[in-house]
Amino acid sequence: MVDTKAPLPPDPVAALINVEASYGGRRVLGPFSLSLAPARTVALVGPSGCGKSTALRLLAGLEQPYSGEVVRRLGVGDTAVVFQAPTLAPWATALDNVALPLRLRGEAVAVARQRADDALARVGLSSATRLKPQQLSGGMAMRVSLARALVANPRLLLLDEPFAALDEITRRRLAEDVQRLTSELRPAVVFVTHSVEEAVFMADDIIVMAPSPGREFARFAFAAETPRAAHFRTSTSFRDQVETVSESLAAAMSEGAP
Amino acid sequence: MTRDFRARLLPPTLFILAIVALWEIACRAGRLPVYLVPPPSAVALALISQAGPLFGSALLTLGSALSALVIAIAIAVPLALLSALSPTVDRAIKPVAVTLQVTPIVAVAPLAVIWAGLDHPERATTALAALAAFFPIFSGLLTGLKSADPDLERLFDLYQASALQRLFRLRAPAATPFALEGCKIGLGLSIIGAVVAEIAAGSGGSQGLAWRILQSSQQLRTAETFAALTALALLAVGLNALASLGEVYILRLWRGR
Repeated sequence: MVDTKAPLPPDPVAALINVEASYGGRRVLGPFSLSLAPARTVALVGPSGCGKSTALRLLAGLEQPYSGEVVRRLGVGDTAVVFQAPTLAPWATALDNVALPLRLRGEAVAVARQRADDALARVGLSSATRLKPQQLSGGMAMRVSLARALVANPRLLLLDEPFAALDEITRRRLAEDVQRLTSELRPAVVFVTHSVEEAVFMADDIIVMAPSPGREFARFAFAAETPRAAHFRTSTSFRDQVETVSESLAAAMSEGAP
Repeated sequence: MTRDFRARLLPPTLFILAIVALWEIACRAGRLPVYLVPPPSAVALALISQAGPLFGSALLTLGSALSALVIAIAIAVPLALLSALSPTVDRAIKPVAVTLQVTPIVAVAPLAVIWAGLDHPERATTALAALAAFFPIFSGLLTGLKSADPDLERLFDLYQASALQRLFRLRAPAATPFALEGCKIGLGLSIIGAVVAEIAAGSGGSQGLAWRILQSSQQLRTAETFAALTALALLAVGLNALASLGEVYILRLWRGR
């Protein structure tokens, strides 16, 4: 077990440097720093209101910080987000939903559809390309959403509680798929979650956050093989790590309590 | 089918038959003058004997309403798209659109009749019907254009989509159900607009169903008034049913089931 404030990697894909964010005059995050390296997954774990999603939106460039600096060494289309809901266009087929990021940057329909088809195959949905979102189960829709995020080979992948609405079995399968796909495509990944188990399963680095205002409470870097397979969940090291992070989370919540 | 019939069609059919029967009995027992309240049998006879002219008038009214719907769509769609693209255009158009909507159509009718001129009464009918149909189509589409999933909007931010990409790849398709609902309401209102214009124009008006209602009532041929009224109601109900079917069908295509 390691519990250190890791130094910034020398050449981050993206970073938050002492950022603060506020809504309506109330500070919700910061000062908070985070640095992201290629092929590394950082999990942000914490109770509601700890600024996890705000940190994600700052990294995506969708919001500006109140103070501090956001570093994004990324071009247009290099960032992908998977939201808590699948967020698919209900009028478009799975294929066209996945092709959207490519179409928006001007690629021809045929090229975009071919790559979307490949992306859907990677998430195991080759047979569902022509279905529309209402015809998909929750897990399938989430896979389409994941395929859409990965179709343009992003260098930064932001996952905002993507498994929160799924049942346990689907959640585990999808977590394994995300592991496998990100180890192939090697983007920097930020994974926001309420679940300590998912954080331990998914991440190289885990940041436990305390609420009001959101800030880093503890940081863990566990050594484990990647990509992780299902049997990692039943190992003793997994259980030990979950216990360690859970204790830290409990401490963070009691400190943050009013 | 038979079960469906029993559950859904039988109650209203029985209810209507009961009303008609009571009405017939009341007319005969009360010896009401036919010019005041004609019995249903007289209305039915009028419907049959006037079937040809009534059908012609129904076609006229229907034609006005449908061409008005096309005109209203042709004006409302570009205006709504422009409003969605530019807040300035939105602010410029909104008060005018709302004013047109809240001003009773009957009050505008005499002007429309004058402008159309004696030789072209059908122009007044179509213009008023289009005016009535415009607002629900415009506001339905505009509401729909602003109703896209905020997370999808964020995704378009993330990929730095242009305003036109956002309009045609996100907002316009998201607006489809709202636009269809607007068209359905617009179609209903266009019938009302056409009827108002025919009545306002009086004897010189386009010879649609409302014109027949007006003519026959002025001559106290009340059974014919009822017959024309029945034809108008059937026309409106039929159009509404067709519009609902079309809406269901298009929505099924839109979302895949």
